[in-house]
Amino acid sequence: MNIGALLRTLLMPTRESCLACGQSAKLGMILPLLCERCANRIPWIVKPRCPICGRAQECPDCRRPEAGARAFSINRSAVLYDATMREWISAYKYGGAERFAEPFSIMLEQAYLRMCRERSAAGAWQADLVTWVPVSAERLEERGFNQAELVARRLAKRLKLPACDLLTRNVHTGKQSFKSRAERLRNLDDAFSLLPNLDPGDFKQWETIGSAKHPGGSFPIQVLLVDDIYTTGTTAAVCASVLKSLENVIDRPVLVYSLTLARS
Amino acid sequence: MKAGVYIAGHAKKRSWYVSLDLNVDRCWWGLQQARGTESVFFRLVSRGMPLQWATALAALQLDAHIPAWTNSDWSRHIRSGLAEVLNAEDLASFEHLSGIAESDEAQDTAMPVLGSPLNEATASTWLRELHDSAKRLTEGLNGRSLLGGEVESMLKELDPASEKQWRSVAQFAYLQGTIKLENAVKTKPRSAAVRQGLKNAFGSGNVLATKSAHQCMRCGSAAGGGPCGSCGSSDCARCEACRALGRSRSCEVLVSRLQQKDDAASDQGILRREKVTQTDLRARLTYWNLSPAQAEASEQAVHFLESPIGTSRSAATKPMKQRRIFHVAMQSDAKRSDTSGYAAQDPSSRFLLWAVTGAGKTEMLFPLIEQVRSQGGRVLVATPRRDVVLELAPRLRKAFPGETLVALYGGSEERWRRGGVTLATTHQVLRFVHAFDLVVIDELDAFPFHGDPMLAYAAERCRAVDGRTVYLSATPPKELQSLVRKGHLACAKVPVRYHRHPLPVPVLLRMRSLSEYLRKKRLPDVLLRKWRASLERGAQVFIFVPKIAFAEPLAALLRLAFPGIAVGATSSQDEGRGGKVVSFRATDLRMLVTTTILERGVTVPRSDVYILDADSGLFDEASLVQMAGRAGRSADDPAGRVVFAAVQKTKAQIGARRQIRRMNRLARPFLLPRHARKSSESKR
Repeated sequence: MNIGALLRTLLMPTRESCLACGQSAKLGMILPLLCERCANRIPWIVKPRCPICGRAQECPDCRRPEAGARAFSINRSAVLYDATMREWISAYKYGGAERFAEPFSIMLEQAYLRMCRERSAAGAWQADLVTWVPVSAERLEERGFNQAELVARRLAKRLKLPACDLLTRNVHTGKQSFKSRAERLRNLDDAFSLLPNLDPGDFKQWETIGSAKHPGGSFPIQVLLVDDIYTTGTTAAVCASVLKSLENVIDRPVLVYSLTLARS
Repeated sequence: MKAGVYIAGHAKKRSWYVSLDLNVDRCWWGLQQARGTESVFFRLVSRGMPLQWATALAALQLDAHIPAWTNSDWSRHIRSGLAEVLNAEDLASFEHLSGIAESDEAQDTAMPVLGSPLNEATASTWLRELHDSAKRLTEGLNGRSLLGGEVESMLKELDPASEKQWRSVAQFAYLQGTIKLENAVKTKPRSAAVRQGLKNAFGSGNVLATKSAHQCMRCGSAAGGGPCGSCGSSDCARCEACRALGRSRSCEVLVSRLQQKDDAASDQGILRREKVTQTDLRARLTYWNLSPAQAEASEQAVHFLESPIGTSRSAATKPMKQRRIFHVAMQSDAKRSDTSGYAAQDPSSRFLLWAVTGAGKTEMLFPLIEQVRSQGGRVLVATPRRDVVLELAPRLRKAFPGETLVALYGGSEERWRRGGVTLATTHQVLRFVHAFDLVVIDELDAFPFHGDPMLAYAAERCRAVDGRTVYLSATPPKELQSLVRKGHLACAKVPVRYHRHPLPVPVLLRMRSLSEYLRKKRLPDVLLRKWRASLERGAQVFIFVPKIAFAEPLAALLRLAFPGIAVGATSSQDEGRGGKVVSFRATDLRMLVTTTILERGVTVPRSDVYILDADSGLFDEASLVQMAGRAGRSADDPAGRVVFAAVQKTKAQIGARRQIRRMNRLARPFLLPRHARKSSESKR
């Protein structure tokens, strides 16, 4: 930055319009691109009540018998899915406000750090790599980006973890939000699979991660699976079970941790 | 999105074509080959590349001789031709993104119809089907400029059967030469962008597209590039500014009508500009039942509409001087605004209707709309807020029962309907291009129009080639005032309210700062006395404060001071604002504490206005005039009180008072007899 520009920024605080409310205000006090007032409206989940899905309320879902068989270990979400978050996430996904990726990734980072603190009770815990829930080719063409990938990549960069593209969505299942619970559950079988041409280099990298953690022993690879919204946990469970099939490829246990922006 | 690219044509005339659906092209050229006498040349270059590359490629010069190149020759040729567009592109991915077709494949598999016998019957049935849909599409696109997604939803309404194949329909219309396919965000060569940036820095030209090399073709804003999952390019820009109206990005197609010469006159409704005789005009104005001041301003505006562009300046300003209405002397020290930038470039096609608050601006528009409609022109009335559209629509429908009026706002049902008169919020205007012969911009100086270059750009773009713009404002920006003063911009003033009483003149009152009173939880006696007097005379008390944070505490103090009187407070953050305004109007609330959010558009019959901390920097002259304009709106109670209470006198307060007094002076010929005498006495 040259001296002129520096002086300008010092003398004139940038008053840009807030990404969420559009009003001109000083941005980035709490989260980038958001004004203080909007950032204060974020319904953070500070204390998850359900140890499995990270819900802030009592959670009947995780007490269902079939819930025990879910392929992911736990889920943690950054925020509650309230009216504010619904508005922001839909602006991000459907309204072309892709710049939300920046504040969202920081919100995810908060949730991840909280998850680390929680898990670290029994020794330091940290994820080994970051991946995300894919969208179908058709949706990608329409939207131009994968909402989960965008935030996941930023998150990975910030956490200095490798970001790996591992999954693909086979059939276009339509929007989850238009379906009932039972439909959602049925709909997603076989929706995801591993990318056909995965880079073997990645696996080697994981090998080094594994052996560095526990020389000589077998240590699980801990995958952080990122998505925008967690509702029933089915998407996370299906993706996690596909990711688990990597165990055959790398001959090492795989544990999947779901990290989502909002918990509905 | 991706698009195919090919070269085709007859022996002498070959050109580049972009394709949204190669099947249509196949049938089109195949049928030409099968039916025509000349042989058709066809060379598929790419079966799908990012749209922005395709359109850039199609804009390149084509040599008369098309060489029999191989794949890699084409690749090299395209890369050099598109160097500017591919600037920020990862060249490693160029090969697979460009989708360049093998030369033999290009001839045989992509164009089977040219080589092997064409199934003529199937092809021609399909094309006939597309022909009808394309006609409807072309008609629908008249005066519009739409993104691919919008074309899809328009076809859904106009022609439900063809919604699924909108790309094919659009491609057919493109081949017919009735529509234009562009990419919605254009990439400019970096050097040009820098030049433009420099130009802007020195104050000429508009301030759009200074930083980035990408510019949105719909709203004119600069856009940032990035990787895109839709086209695969790593420098695909999306426009953040107009995203509320659908995603405009480099690889999104922007479809507009390609104007044909002969249908321009008949279809577009270019004004014939027949002279209206003075008696005719007078008769028409009488029909609208306007006050003398309104009628005079309307008459000038109608004369402006009929005079040819270029001469209107002298034609419009001269009579105004004679009538003593043309008179401005304002200090001008503000920055240039974008709107006035346009006005300065082309002032002869513009007209400013400067009407005081409560003058009855809408009624004055009626003769203008009638004038343009009687000659077959199209009218747009753009207003800043959705509420105004909803309020104005029934009034206009009532005034013009024979017209089709289309009201456009976010979520409007009438999105694709067309009519002679269009009433729209300013953002909706972005969907139109060269569509209106008369563009009326209401509340020019209000948010969001003022200070948003995007909306100024849109207001320019939607105007027909020799269309006119009429600005409506009670407090025009300084820059426009200065244009008027220099005689560059025609202007008519309506200095009097429709009820022909003078505007209430603000009283300047000295007090300590509001925050101090709030801290001490004690309000000054002089204000309390005034408020009590207002309440006793049965008036509604409007109290404006500069900050949202002051509203509730002040309301609480007022509730203590006036027990039994209902006091409300509202601000931009108040969800129940609409309800409070309604109950204030219905006198369920007697006092309302608010911020500048209610400075415009609220009419409360019998009200007194108090502006506290009037010296705050948040109140400029225009907003003080607007707030003062809330008082004395109705004929029953024309003499409302206006008080500016402040620690010190500021330029804005004095300016506002001066502006109101000046208007009252100008209003003298129009006032009801008793006021005319009184105000001239008070002057002495």
